[in-house]
Amino acid sequence: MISYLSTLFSYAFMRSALLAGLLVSVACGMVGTLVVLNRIVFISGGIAHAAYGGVGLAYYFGFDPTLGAVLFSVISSLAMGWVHRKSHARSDTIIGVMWAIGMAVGIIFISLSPGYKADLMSYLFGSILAVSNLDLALMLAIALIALVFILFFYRTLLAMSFDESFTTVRNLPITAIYLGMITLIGLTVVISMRVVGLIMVIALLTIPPALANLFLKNMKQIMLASVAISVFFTTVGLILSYALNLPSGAVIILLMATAYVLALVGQSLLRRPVSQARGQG
Amino acid sequence: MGNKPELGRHLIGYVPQIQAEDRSFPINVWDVVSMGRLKPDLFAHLRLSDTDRASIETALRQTDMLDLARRSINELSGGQRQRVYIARALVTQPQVLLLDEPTASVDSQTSGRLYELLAKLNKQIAILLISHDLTAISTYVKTIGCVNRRLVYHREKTVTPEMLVSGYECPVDLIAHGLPHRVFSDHEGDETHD
Repeated sequence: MISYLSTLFSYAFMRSALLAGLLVSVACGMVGTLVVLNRIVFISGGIAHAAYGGVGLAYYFGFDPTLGAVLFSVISSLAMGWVHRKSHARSDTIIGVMWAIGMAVGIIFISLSPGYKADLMSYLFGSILAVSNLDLALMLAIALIALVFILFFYRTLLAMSFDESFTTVRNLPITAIYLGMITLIGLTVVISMRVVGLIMVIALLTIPPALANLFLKNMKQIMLASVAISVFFTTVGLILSYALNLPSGAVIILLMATAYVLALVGQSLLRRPVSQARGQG
Repeated sequence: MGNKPELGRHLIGYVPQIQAEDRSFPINVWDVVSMGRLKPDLFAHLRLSDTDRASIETALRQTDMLDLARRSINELSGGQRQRVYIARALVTQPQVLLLDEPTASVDSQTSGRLYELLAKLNKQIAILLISHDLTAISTYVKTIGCVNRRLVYHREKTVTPEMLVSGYECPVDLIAHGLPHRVFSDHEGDETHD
């Protein structure tokens, strides 16, 4: 086992993949906690899918697809965040429409671009084993941005997530903080796409904090635990997928989801007697 | 006050109606109250200052919540959560405490204790509380204003049938059973207090 692992990590691509998993986990664990506590999982899904429009555009005009994805996800996250904040009625419908527009634009531009599109699937389903040094640099940059943003605005972010109307009444610059947070989600979505693909990004963002929130009752602890959970499952998933010759993104997500479902079932079984006792008392 | 709402906000300590949905949020009492110390200048509060801490502690002591400061908000009863929100409003150092249906989701015993707390606080600060319960108004309330599209301010603390009629815009009966604290009726020859 040990020797198997040491052989595995002697490959440069494997070391890059592990590093990618680590960096994305740092960003995802913290940003995902904000996504879960602000109940904007749907927006995050929308951003991830709308980013596909940028990938398509990049293919057609011949620039780097990651750049296209960054462009589209930042624009769509700002648009969706703005719609969500300003128009309360039907905001989910409008976000759903934007989600679909992004996908449609991507599909059309890709079908218009000539040639063989070998790595197209990697944007949909992830390809952590093929990360470039440029990807790693982007992941590092975004993980650092997430860390600094959250450290700096932690108390305001916590207040906003818990009780937005109170922060509004207190005249805090909530629109600016909210748009900053949503842009950060957009950026995190792009780097997470490299690991699990845009279709499964929501799971990578939400499962670790949801799992941590079952046991922890403090946002800071949930963020730290989410990072740890995410690092653990991306690493184990990566090794397992290599050993079993299965797609890494799907293996990582399935492992996380299994752990979450087991924890959820286990907790509800343990909780039941307690809540009954409380109900009688 | 005749100004934009933004300009007057710092004068008012708003205590929202408690809602069931925020029960699942992972946060403790201390952190909720410390929100009241956040200021519009974002870069001013990386950590709590000693003044912030002292102010939070005082507010928690005033509302009898200091012992539960590290308790998760999910584990609190309705009345306790209402106290936390009052403490959070107090640390903003307002001139008026504005409460929206403070007793809407608590039992009568708890609401009695809540009114005792408010009466105590009322020695230092003006309190404006909003209620939809026209049949029961605390003995501690000093003056009453009725709002139904227009505000009718009554300079005293009794609910008269005329007030109910102007509030509901239709005649109503006062319902009281058992041992009510006060029943008001038969104000014949009384003036209307508009």
